[in-house]
Amino acid sequence: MAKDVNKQYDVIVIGGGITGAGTARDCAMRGLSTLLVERYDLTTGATGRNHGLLHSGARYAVTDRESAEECIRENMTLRKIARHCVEETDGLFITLPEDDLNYQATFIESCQRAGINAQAIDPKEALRLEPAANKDLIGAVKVPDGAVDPFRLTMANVFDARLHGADVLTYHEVTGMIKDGDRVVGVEMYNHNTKEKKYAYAAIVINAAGIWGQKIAQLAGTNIGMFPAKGALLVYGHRVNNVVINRCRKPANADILVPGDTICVIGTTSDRVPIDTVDDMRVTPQEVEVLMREGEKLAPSLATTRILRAYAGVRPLVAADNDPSGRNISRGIVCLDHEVRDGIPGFITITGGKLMTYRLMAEWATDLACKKLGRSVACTTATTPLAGSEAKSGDGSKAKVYDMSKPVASRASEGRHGTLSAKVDSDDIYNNALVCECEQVTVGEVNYAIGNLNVHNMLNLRRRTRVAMGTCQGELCMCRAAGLLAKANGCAEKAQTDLVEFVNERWHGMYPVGWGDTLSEGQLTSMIYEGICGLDAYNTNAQEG
Amino acid sequence: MKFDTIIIGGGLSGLTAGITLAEHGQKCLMVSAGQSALHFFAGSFELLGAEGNPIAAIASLPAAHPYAKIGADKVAQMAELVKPMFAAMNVDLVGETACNHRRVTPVGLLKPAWLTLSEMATAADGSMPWKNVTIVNIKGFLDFNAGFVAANLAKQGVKAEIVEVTTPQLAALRRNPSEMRATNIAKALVGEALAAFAAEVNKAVGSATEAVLLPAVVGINGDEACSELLKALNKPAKLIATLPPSVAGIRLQRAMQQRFQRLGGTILQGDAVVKGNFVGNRLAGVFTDNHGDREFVADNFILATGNFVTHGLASTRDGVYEPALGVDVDCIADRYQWTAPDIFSHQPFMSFGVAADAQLRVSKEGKTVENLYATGNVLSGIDAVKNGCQTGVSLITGLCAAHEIIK
Repeated sequence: MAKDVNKQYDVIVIGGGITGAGTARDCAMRGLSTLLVERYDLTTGATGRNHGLLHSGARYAVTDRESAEECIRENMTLRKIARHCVEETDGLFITLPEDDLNYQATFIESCQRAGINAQAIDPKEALRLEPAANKDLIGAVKVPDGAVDPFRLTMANVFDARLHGADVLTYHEVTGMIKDGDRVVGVEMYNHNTKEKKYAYAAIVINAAGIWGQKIAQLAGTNIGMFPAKGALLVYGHRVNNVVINRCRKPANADILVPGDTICVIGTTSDRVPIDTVDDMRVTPQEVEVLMREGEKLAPSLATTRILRAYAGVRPLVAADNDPSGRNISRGIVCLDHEVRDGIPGFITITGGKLMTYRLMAEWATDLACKKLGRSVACTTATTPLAGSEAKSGDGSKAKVYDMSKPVASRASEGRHGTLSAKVDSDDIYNNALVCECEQVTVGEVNYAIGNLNVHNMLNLRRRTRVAMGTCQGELCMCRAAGLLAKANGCAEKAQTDLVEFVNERWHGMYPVGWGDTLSEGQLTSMIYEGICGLDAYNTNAQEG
Repeated sequence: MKFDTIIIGGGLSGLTAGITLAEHGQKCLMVSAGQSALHFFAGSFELLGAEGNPIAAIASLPAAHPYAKIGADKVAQMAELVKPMFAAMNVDLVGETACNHRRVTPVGLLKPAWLTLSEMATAADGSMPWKNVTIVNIKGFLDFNAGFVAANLAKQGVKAEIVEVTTPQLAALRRNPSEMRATNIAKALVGEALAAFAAEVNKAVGSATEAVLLPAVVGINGDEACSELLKALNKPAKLIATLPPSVAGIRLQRAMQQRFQRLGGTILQGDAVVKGNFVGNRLAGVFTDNHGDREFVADNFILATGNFVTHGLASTRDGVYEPALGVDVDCIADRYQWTAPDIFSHQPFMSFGVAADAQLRVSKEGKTVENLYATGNVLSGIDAVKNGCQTGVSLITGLCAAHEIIK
């Protein structure tokens, strides 16, 4: 066996979602030599398939006080450390005529007990704050919800981890644990790009693989009973609301509408799915029906708004009892010391939790790793801004300051990369040329992402820059961006296969909601990529995540 | 306002029908939204995307396909009228109905083609006529992927060198970040700017090169710029279609519009039919968006509004419909059966369209409308992409309907 990478680390973190990224950042900031390993692309799992809701915790206040308290604390922290990823929109919990208005009092009381500033407001005032909300509402509570871009947040954590010396390997799937007796001492990896095996060693291996953590635990010789809870969501092509709209009732299907960038997202459903299906989540017609029906109750204008796409993620809940929906399982954090639990030293699992509490999850996992390594370094992630979110000189306010004299694309890029947008080449007309008109992505930004943000393919590029995420879902910009990737990587063959896979990846989110403009867009895609270009010749129908 | 025939739709099919009718002395009105599928034209017409003789391949089409309804003999008869129609507009086409040739796609792949604009690159017998070519792109132009073209041509045994050129006039376009599109370049590449561009190309091309391949970004207003460029180059040169918008397609549409108007046709530009006045089994007149209550009356009508992309067909979550006149469509009721997970596999919705009989007459509420014909991609039974018949169906059915009316 050729062990071409024999590097020894303090910590190997498995999983390129927000939990793994946050953990790698925390470890690196505490001076641990760190490797982050991800099977495919960063944010491929649940991190890239949720609402992008900066929970105030209010949703959990009645049923799960612990989670609610964690949420509101982290909510306030993220507003400070990740301001370029966060939009401070506020949120409303509305009561509709079919809901029980008595629930509102319980709700507010529970929120306040958890430290969430929840204020009942007059329905008229609520409609003034958010004109898109259902005009029939009979009650409204204002809470400090917001929107957070999970792609940006993850990338900022990974970027920061790298700035603090961490190594990052994407497209490296952990296929085995290297053990010395019972102790985990390293990982065996398969590089999906080069089709080669690789090995890396560490004193501590942290399993932060979300729902796939069950498989990682099995590789280490133990078992975690995960409860894969599928959540489906719909993206609408317009930002109909500016304030997060929730239903003031016990958490149920499709009762949160979150604005983000130029769109808004309704979700979610919650259904237990078999663990062996988590790699291929498709949204079913029944889920689409529920999401449309319930969404239109929150904001009636959704009925006439184009649905851009449908997607689904799998929450990595940890099984507790026989609850078919998973709604009653705690969203709480689970940090497992496998040395204590299973007699497997050198192995830690961090799971459960949610996007909102990723930083706290990372802190717990890193605290445990430090303890085991005999290092006493305090966690500073709650007070140190992420890469891109540092205060600019002369910028005392926390408000984002947009210089309106700059081109739209440069402001859009600043929105995506924060202060790091200064690294995007915009010095000449070539770099300022637009690749993606919908999302205002320039050649310079694409090349910055290729050079700095672990971009191997189109999918990676979309997640780093929003290329092809706008209303046309990449009609022409896909081909333009693929050309730039081919140039940067010097491989036109791979870029074309990749382009075709990407065209299909966009379609996977469109076909479940294929009517109206989305159907027309699909026909145009087919006319351009198969009809005009003949690129179906490169279709292998292989899918990634 | 009384006409002999009113044509609803100003794309390839509507224009073909309109020109044919006007040539036969009919007084025609065309209602055109403006843009059409010709803006996505790949430089070639395809009758049917098969190897060899496309007419022979009609036998293997499903019965619902318009060619099958019309019959192979009639398709062949109509096909012979296409070259002369374009010759009258000084549009020179190469290719024969007896045997498909290949066109070079914007990424350098080869696809079956029937009739190709003479300035475009083709491969007569499936292989390219050169071994050493230079692909020239314009610096900063992202809608022509020279790298992909070179990689795909290499598989045909053609060695391709890539060079990028620019001129002060082209560089000026790039000051606005979204100006570097095919149509804007074509507007700039005229007169001195065109000569300067040709000079730069000549400078950049090495002596070992047999031919120069360029993106089709010249001649939006007429074919003069095209021939001027090809004459000014030191090497034999051919053009390759770009990603949309298609300069060649826009030029073609303009040429056809001019021909139609010179023959006495009237075009309502930027307008759309919103309602029909049906009397018994006939359509008596139509109303348009811009003209409110004014009824446009005619003896015959042609519906040539195209597919979902050009809004000839529309869908909501409640179903598929034909938005201009509300005529009957062939489709599947359950919307979750319209699409399939792989975009490159058969997509049922692609064949949805207006129901028509063998004479291309449509029906409304189950009854044939005696004087209303549908042509082109609004028709049902066509999977234009899979069958490789998008432009062919437009031309053939446009001609067919016109001849039905003249008869």
